[in-house]
Formats: sequence, structure tokens, C-alpha cells
Amino acid sequence: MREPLLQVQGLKKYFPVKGGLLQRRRDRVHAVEGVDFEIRSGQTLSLVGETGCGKSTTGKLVVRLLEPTEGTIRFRGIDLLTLSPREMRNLRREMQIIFQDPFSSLNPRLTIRQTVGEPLVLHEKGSRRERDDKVVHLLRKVGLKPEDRFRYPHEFSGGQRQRVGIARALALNPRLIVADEPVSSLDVSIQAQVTNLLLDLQEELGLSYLFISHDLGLVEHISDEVAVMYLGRIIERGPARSLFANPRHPYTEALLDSIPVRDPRQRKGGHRPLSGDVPSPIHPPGGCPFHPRCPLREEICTQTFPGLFEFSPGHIVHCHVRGKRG
Amino acid sequence: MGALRELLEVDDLEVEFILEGHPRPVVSEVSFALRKARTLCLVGESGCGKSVTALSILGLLPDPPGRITGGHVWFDGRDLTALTQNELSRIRGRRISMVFQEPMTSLNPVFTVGDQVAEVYRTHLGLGRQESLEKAVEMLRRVGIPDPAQRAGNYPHQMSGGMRQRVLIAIALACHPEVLLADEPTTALDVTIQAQILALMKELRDEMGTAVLLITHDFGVVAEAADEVAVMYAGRIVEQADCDTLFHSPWHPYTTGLLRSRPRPGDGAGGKGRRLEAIPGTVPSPANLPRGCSFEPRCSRREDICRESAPPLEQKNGGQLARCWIPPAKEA
Repeated sequence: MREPLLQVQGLKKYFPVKGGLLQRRRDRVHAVEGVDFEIRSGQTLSLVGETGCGKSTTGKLVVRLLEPTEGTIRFRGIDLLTLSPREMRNLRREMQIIFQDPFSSLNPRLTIRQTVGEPLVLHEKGSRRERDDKVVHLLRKVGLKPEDRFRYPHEFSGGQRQRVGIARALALNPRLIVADEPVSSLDVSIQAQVTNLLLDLQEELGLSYLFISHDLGLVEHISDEVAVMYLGRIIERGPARSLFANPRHPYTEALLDSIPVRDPRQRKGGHRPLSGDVPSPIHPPGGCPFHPRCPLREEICTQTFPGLFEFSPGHIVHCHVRGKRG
Repeated sequence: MGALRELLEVDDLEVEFILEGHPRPVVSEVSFALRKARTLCLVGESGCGKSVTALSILGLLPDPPGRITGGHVWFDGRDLTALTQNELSRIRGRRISMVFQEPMTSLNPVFTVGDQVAEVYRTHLGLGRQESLEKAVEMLRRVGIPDPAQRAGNYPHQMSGGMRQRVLIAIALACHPEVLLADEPTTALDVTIQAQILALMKELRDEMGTAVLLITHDFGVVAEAADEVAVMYAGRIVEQADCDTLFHSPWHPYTTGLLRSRPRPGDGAGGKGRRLEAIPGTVPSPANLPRGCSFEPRCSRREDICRESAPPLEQKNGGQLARCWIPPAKEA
């Protein structure tokens, strides 16, 4: 098998919590606590989990918008963390990020031509004319009109702005796109349009996606592989079909069980899938971080983080109880 | 359905907003009834007028720019749109109350949550300090907050989003209102917490016999929680039906389109490459509504008549009300 496009190993990120008179560091937020995954060319890996589980931080670490505390990130086999800023800048052309909020991620004072063309100015020589042609080409590709390049962000709807964000990300012919909740703030009918655009572009350009989302229905639809995060750790990962059909971790089960039904005839009659809240990432529980809410909890779960158990090829879980019983 | 008493009736509501100096219709011809211990879901995309409808019921519309220009809201024999703010304030929070989307901003950051629940009892029932605080703790227990006596002393920032939404529900239901208006109460929450809150709302509704208007953009929430559903588009109800009928035999092409645009389980991974069924185009602006049916420019079923005149909301053969000239084709 070919080498993966992206390989992440033992990735960690701690944020300092400052306080007191002199703003000394008093604590650390354990945002990402040792994460491993790979993405192959042309494939989509989705990171799912609840608010604060570390999925967005992981996305930002991958493109080095944040510096990891520990771990390695290999892109095309190159270890990103050893690169100089200049080398990193060159490589970043190949990895781009799309954000959730199409209202705040575009500069309101720039025309669409300036926004989409900016990466070209920064990274490619080319004449003004060539850049303009490229912008037109990119706008067409994301379903906007060439004359839209003279307009400003406020003249566009949310869905159109997200298309602009996608056009900007595509400007330098990237191979990997980190998409952080790219359709979450859009209306239902527009979500489907933008999702289809992402799928079309993947097929046409052979893009790989690291797709970050809390919308499990959408994730099932678009992913090759899915990783479930809880308090900074991946607790289950596997091919989308296998993970959705046979979730092994009790947290994944609870998460899938919480998805609203598709049809009122399937209502489950008032059971509560999972009680309690996610604990604070400043003082995460010892052992398996899920143990305080886990219905299967045993003594060992409070003591050590469970190792990796592989259930079927590529479908792995970190759970003492499920690992033991197979 | 008709046998259940109507607690609140919205009758032909019209609301205008002044946009760029011109009055524009944002809610038109909206009528529905809320019944004891039943949930009506008002569903639609942003700007369709669903929140404006709820705000109008309680006289909370910001004026200017908003103004009720027609229709009535009947509650207990009185037309709420004709009441003064003073008269309304005796009904708000006590007999009709509201829960909003954002549990972070709807609570006062400088008072403890116990205080904020207790305030309802002091204001509306005239209870004393000690008694209102005791009742507040009891209400916090009812909405599933663990260790309520101690948590009552917490400030909002010390609680998670899910816990804060429970506090807001405690405030809203403290006086056992007859009607609860809930505007996207779970949208800001994670799925596991959303499931908890929806279950809680249903439990309390059944216990207290509250009539619920649940506003959402999410058909999953509708499928979980609704007895009856009204789908809004560009300020109008385009389809209204009981929940089962709406999901299984939708009449209006917009309803059909929204239901189909959701990813289907089993479509994914192996089925990758399959596209979602999107509705083309975007919602028209209230300043620029089409002359005929407002959905016509995006509609796959459109014919000449749709461009010329707006269809009325009328009873269709499946038992639903729909605003569309063209019957759905028999599709495979």
C-alpha cells in the first residue's frame, strides 16, 4: 500500500491556564492528549466528538496554525515539525483550512477577487492577468459567477461566502484540506449544496479531507474513515461503515444513540442515552477519561488508559471492557 | 386532535419589518393553535419568520423595526396583540413563557442561578425570600440538576451549556405556565445533551400539561419531539400536518426537498460519491418576494400558474394543509 498523505503520531497540545496577580501559569488544559491517525490520498477522515473534545485543535495543529506540545506530523513523509518557517510556508500551499463561520473568516474590506487571489499573490509569481484568470477559473469551479469577483463579502449569502472560502483554499492546488465544521452554520437546504461541492471537488482534484464535524449524519455520508474523540483522545477509529454499523466503544454507542431519529415512527420512548456532562479538560479523570459516565465501568478503567484493540481490519477501540470480551 | 382544547390560537398573523426604509412583510397569513400537552413544531430556515412569530405572540418584537400589522393571538378569551405591555407582563413568564437558543447569554451573569429561578416566584407569586428560594431548589431538582441545593449558589459561568439550558427551562416552567414557547432550545448543545434536554421537555410537558411551540430548523428534532408540524418558508406556512403525515406523505415540494436533502444512513462510505439532493438557489429576500408562489424560483414542480399567482393554504387529500398549486407526482 502507498504511503499515507498525512501521518499523525502521539500528537499533544496543552494550553496554559493563567491566573492570579502575576498571571502565572496555574494549570494546563489538556486539549489534545496523544492522537494518532493517517489519511490517504483522495480519502476523507472525519473527527467527531462533542464541544471541547479537541477536534478543532487537532485540525489546527495539522496545518501548524498551532504548535503542538508533543508528537509528529508527517505530510508526504516530511516531518512538518522540523521544517523552518520558510520551508513550512512552501509546504503549506499543499494543505489548506476552511473554517466554520463564513461571516467572520472573510475580510469585509476585500473584494472576492482580492480574497481569492491573495494566496496567489503571496505564493506565486504570475502576472496580474494570470491571477485574474485563475480567480475566474476558481469561482466557476465552486459555482460562483466570474463577475462575482468584483463584489464584497456582505453582498453574499452564507452559502455563497462558504463557496468563496473554498475557492480561496483551492487557489494553490492543495492536496489536503482541513474542513472545520464547513457547513454547520449554513441552512439545511444550503448544507446539501456545499457538501455536494466538497464531494465533487474531491473526486475531480483527488483531494484528501480532514473533516471536523459534530453532525454524525453528515459524517456517515461523506467519510471513508471516522475517529471519535473524547477529552482529547481518540477512543475509537475505523472505516465509516464499520464504525456506524458496529460501534464498539460505549461512548460511540451513546453518541450514535443520541442522534435524533429520522422518522417519528422510530422514536425510542423516553430513554436517556447518556447522563452527565463532559468533565473539565483541565483536570481530566485518570485512567479512561470516559469512566465517570460509562455504564460498563470496571475497577481498571479508573486506573489506566486502555491500550488499542483491533476488532476488524482498521477498526480500533480503546476500551478495557470491550477489548477484553472481544 | 380537534378534541383537545386550544390554549392559544394565532389567527392570520401579519408582521412587517422596516428594511432599508421600506416596510417589508416578514410574516404573512400565519395561523395555528397550541393544545394542552401537545407540541407544535415550527420549522424552517433562517429568515423564514419562525422566531418573529414567537416574539409576536408575547409582544416582544423589537419595535421599530418590527410591527404587527394584522391578525390576532387569542389566549384565554383575550387578544394578546391588543394588550398593553403592562397587561402582557402579567402573562409573560407566568402563564406563557419562553426559552431561547443561547443559554450563555439569556442568564444574568451577576446573580446566582438559584436567585434567578427564585425571582420568578417573588415576581409572579409574591412569595417571600426563603420560600421562593426553597421552591427554586425544588424546581432545579425537577429539571435534573444534581445536588440542586448546592448548585443554586452557582453563577451561570460555573455551569456547562447543558446545565444552563436546564436552568432556563426551570425559570420558564417555574410557574407551571399553560404555554411554553421554545426557540431553538437545543441548537447550541451537543447531541448527547440535546437528547437529554428534549427528553426533559417532554417529561415536564406531560406532567404539567403545557402546550409547547417548539421552533427549530432541524428535522431530527421535529421527528423526536413534534405532534404537529408547520413548515415555514419566506414568512408563510407552506405546509402543516401531523408529524407522521409530514414525514411520510409530505405535499409541498419545499418540505419534500428539505427531507431529502438530509444525508441518509447507508448512503455513506461505500456509497461515497453519491450526492445529497440539494434544493437549488437561495431563500428570496423579503424586499424582493416573487409575485406568485415564493418557492417558485427554486421549485422542481413549477408551472406557469406558480409564477402568476400565490397559492392559498388549503386542505389536501392526505389530510395536510399545503400552499401549492401542483400535486406531487407519483414518484418511485
